Amino acid sequence: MANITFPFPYPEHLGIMLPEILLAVLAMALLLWDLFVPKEKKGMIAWAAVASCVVTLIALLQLPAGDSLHTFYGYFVLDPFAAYAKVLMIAATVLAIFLSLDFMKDEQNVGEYYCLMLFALLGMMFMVSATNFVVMYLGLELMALCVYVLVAYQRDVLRSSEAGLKYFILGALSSGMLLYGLSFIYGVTTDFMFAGIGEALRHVEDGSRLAVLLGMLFIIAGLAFKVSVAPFHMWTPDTYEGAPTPVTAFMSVAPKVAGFVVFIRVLADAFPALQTEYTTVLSVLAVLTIGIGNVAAIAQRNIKRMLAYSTIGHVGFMLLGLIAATQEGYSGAMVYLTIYLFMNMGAFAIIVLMRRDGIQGELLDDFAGLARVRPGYALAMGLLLFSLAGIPFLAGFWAKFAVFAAAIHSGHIWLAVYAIVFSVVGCFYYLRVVKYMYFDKERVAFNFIENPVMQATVVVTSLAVVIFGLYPKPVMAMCSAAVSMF
Amino acid sequence: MIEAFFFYVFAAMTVLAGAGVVLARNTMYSVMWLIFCFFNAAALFFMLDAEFLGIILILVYVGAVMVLFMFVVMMLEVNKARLREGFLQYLPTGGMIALMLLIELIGASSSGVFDNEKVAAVGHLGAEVNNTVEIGKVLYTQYLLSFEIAAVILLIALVGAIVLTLRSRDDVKYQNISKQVNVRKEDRMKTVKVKS
Amino acid sequence: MQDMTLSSTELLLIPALPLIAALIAGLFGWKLKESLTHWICCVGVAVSALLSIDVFMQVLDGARFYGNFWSWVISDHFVVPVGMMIDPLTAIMMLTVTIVSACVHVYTIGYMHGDPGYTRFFSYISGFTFSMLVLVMGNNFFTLFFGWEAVGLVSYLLIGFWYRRESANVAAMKAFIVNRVGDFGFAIGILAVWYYFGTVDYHEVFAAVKPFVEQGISLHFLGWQMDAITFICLALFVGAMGKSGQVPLHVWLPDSMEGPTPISALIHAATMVTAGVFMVARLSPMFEFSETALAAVILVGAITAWMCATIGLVQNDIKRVIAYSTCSQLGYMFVACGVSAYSAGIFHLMTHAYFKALLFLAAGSVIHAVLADQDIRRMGQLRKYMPITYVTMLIAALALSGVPPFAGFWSKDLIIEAAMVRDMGWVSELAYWAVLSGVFMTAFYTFRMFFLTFHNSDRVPAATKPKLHESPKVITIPLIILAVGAFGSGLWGVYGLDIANAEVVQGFFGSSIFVLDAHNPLLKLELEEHHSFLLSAPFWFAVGGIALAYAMYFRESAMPAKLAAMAPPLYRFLLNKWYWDEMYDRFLVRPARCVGTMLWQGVDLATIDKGVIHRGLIDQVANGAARLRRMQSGMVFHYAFAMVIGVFGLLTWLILKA
Repeated sequence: MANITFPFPYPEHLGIMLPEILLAVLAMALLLWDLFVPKEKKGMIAWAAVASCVVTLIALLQLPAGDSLHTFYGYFVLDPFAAYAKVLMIAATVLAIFLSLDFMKDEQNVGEYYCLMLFALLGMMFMVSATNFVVMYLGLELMALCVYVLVAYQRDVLRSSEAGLKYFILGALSSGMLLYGLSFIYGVTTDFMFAGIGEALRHVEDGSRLAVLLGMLFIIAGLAFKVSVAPFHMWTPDTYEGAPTPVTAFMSVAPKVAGFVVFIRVLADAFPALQTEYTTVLSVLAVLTIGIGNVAAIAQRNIKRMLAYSTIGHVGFMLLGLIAATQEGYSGAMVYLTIYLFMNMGAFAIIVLMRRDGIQGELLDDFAGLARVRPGYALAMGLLLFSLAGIPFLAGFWAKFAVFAAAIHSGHIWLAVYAIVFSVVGCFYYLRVVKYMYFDKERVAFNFIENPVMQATVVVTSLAVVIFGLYPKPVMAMCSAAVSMF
Repeated sequence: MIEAFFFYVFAAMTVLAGAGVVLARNTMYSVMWLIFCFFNAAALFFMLDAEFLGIILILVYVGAVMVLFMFVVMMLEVNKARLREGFLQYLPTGGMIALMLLIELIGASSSGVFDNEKVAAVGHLGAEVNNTVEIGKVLYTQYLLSFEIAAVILLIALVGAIVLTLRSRDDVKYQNISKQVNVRKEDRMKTVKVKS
Repeated sequence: MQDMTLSSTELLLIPALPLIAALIAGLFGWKLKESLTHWICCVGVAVSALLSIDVFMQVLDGARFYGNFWSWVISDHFVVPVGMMIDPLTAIMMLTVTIVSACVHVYTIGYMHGDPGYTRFFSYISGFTFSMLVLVMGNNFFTLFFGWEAVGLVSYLLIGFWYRRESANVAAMKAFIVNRVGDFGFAIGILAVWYYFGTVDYHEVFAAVKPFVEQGISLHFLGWQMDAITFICLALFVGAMGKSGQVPLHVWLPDSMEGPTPISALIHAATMVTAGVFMVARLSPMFEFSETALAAVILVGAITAWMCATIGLVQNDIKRVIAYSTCSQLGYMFVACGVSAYSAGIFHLMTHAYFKALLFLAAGSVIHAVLADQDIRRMGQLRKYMPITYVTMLIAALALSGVPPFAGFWSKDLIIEAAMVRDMGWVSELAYWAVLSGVFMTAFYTFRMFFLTFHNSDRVPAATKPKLHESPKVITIPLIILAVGAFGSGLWGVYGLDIANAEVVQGFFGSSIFVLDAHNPLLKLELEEHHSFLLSAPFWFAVGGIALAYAMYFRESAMPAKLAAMAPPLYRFLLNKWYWDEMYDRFLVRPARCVGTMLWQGVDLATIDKGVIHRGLIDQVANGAARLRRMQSGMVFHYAFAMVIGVFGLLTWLILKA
């Protein structure tokens, strides 16, 4: 790189970064525009944020996503995998904005809220397009920083700021771990690029093996924190509970997509030479995650905490796809993420809709008798919960099927059996909510938010769950096309 | 030889300072230890011919960040005694694990990283090499994307800090001069006809 | 002539109309007016019946249809097509099903009038018609299975139609469970067909049977060997036994009389229960190649025919007498199929459908009149009050007994003669004597019931007497229509359709039924001289039965009681239906319940709920959850510590492994 002359050459294929550029510009414009919007018209900002997402999506979709294109000297890649993940994340962001519509009515700093969401999206988009650890780490920090602030958004609510602080401190610790591991890997391979590391690790001598293992382990730990894999999951329940519910919905889905995509890229591109080692590590983590997620959820009385553990459980199932380390496994994990997006967003939408006296329907008891008061919500919630539990023929079943099948095909039969056993345990706490809704008498006076957009979100997500359940082929096909290069 | 000696001196002091940050009873002392730690780290940078980084470390961290830290710490009045609660309770397990982890880390570090010829072969840079120019060359070409993202991160940090602190509070009384100046008679005065 | 094909639109309409009617009645019936609902259903089924007649006429002219409409399931090379196969066998079934069904629809208007589930009932019976049509019209095993299960479902719903009555619910469940046993065999048979032939299409399977048999593929299971084709046929026949109420799976059929009478007529006499017979005839190209399976069919049919006839002798419930007679007559049909006289079996199926439906509807008319009392001991002299019912029921009874020229005679006579000439060793010998003695008993119990109902002394309770009346026209008109069938369908079949033609291919059925020449009993009949009916044994047995019934029951006499007292154990044995129910209860139901209780108490409650280890699995999980919740202390340094321990543990493990 020493011979570069100024002015520096224009990066090739800059066009493939158009969505990110547009998003960054629009987000900043939003930030400025917010200053000029009078207080009673702040609702427009949400729609502007949605419009930004839509513009980004359109820009993304018009790009040739068929093969992988690089720009910025190979530091940024657009391939079907990244493109698919970006579509998912944009969808998650739009849904999260919809869920925020009512919540933001009583809050200050509306513009900054949506702007932070957009920047979080930007960070995640960089993450999934990163071909090296530097861009990946920066994208991750961009996303994380936005989410820290979003979690602590209700500054006057003690548990919100507490949650933000906890998440921040532990996040910093995990970033430290990630960087520490990175420095070991760099020390051995003198490279940041995934592909370069992967190549270098093939020829690594036995002497540095320990350093490589250590580096890999710390990197895995850092990434595992982001997708809440046990034992790096401890922040999840507290943060989910404390954060404003729309933010919980957002962070339970979008960063998981980004995290898993990065996870897959790192494992498949940077550490293929260490597959036996990382498979053992991930298996241990998966066993822990699945067990803790599904068992601890049973003891929860707060639905957000319960869904936090449910997320942990689902993340454990998704790990099976990574453990399989085959195209089928990666595709399975993507299928899982896709379906999980709709299931979780739908469930959170209903929780948000049940907001009363400033707090959203939080305790499980609040759901008692919902079927009598609002049969539609109860039906939608029931469908979503059944799907989360993995009952055929709802979408959640196919999600589990995809990863379990991949795990079995790659020889991890006992892991799959273990996962199936715990998914049965997991049914208990999902179905308990259904029982509350349908068989119990109402204990609190319901006070629903009447917001057509949010209601539409509920309808769309539960319909998606049913339709994917009955006809999972398109999702499966899209996902296997997305991971075709592995 | 002398280089190695100074390296070990600075490195040892960095570690010592790090331990001091954690172990100091008074938060103020912790901050001071941290500053000392940064100085030593900067010295290590200098020894690697990375003058630019060394200077930046001192200017930004010591000069700006740590001073800010000190203000914050002084304003917060952290209770010293409570911070130490349960320290002894966790010491045995925590200490054991820390010790073993340390051994493992040292083992890993000494195993292969420093034997690597590529790393060892980096010698001193010539006098004609300008640190700042070299960093600039890669920063604005190869690492441009990272640089831009870092810029966005800074923006977010700014926005985040403002969001979490600044807001208009209704429960505080303050003077709104423009409102006062713009007040009209009709706003304050109401003519009421009193039946006599 | 063979090139003519039927219009597929017309064919699709035949099952579609009842389906649409059923859906309308089922989904919107609660909103629509009752009269509108019954009009929709009746018109739907009636049009379907007219179309069936039209199709039947075209089939007589040689038209055929064979084709797939769409694919229901496509999974790799496993394809389930939805298609139809129309040939004389199908056509005659369609005709029977739709005509009887249409009569029952009209009859229902009168019979079910005022019932709270009126529209529901119409939805069910139209749905049943649809299912049965799918069953007979399909061109592959899976449509057959679909129809098979669908009629089973509707049957369950209809037996338990009065769901507030406990006995109805019990009977419905019994029917369902017993049918499940049969369906299990049936499903295995179909899967075996798919496994061995790789297709479920009738034409393809039938074409492959002969080479398949010549290959001599056999099946080994637990050191027990069997021809594959025999295995397939036996498995399929188990299904037929369940659906057609053959021993030992007959127990549900008499109990199914808990349902409303139109249903007894439509489902449990005329159509659904004959599905087994239809299936055996339809699959004649397969059964023909397995002597063992044919022998099993004969044996089961003969035992059922004889045994159920003996039970029918002493029953006092008017519908139960007819129900046992149904079992018995179905046994006749299976004997016919077993001796390779499939055409005779289907012929009897058709005639039986008319006269048995008539018998049931007439019985229903009687029950309607005496205010839902079904005990013939509390009837008598009813002919004075209900002349039309009396006459039509007499026709049905004569047809059932096998008195010429009524329908039953022609078909039953054919079966008995076929059983006589077919030589299959002791099996056919036994079958011959069973069906022959069955004729005597049939005639006896039919007329016992008939005389006790319409003649004898007047034993109607005083409270009901003023209300005795002839049923309304919607009830009597279907009776008259069916009476025409019960009278004429036999003559029509023999002289009009030439069903009895020994060369099946030249007769009515053409190529739709396959019989090996060596098996065909009708051919042998042809060789012997054609004697007059006066010389046939069955005729005299029937007359004898009627005469005995006349002697015992036409007027009130002490003879029956004396006879019963002569051999009380035998009488009780028959009255209690050979103790089949008690036997099932002792050997199947109770052990099953024992196992269930053991699993419940021992495994579920003891291990999972209360627990032998610690306090059971439930508590273990709950404890684990609580412990995990305590670990979630809320302290940041705990969380950080967990992360460090995680990394440390994994690292140590990796180092130790490496």
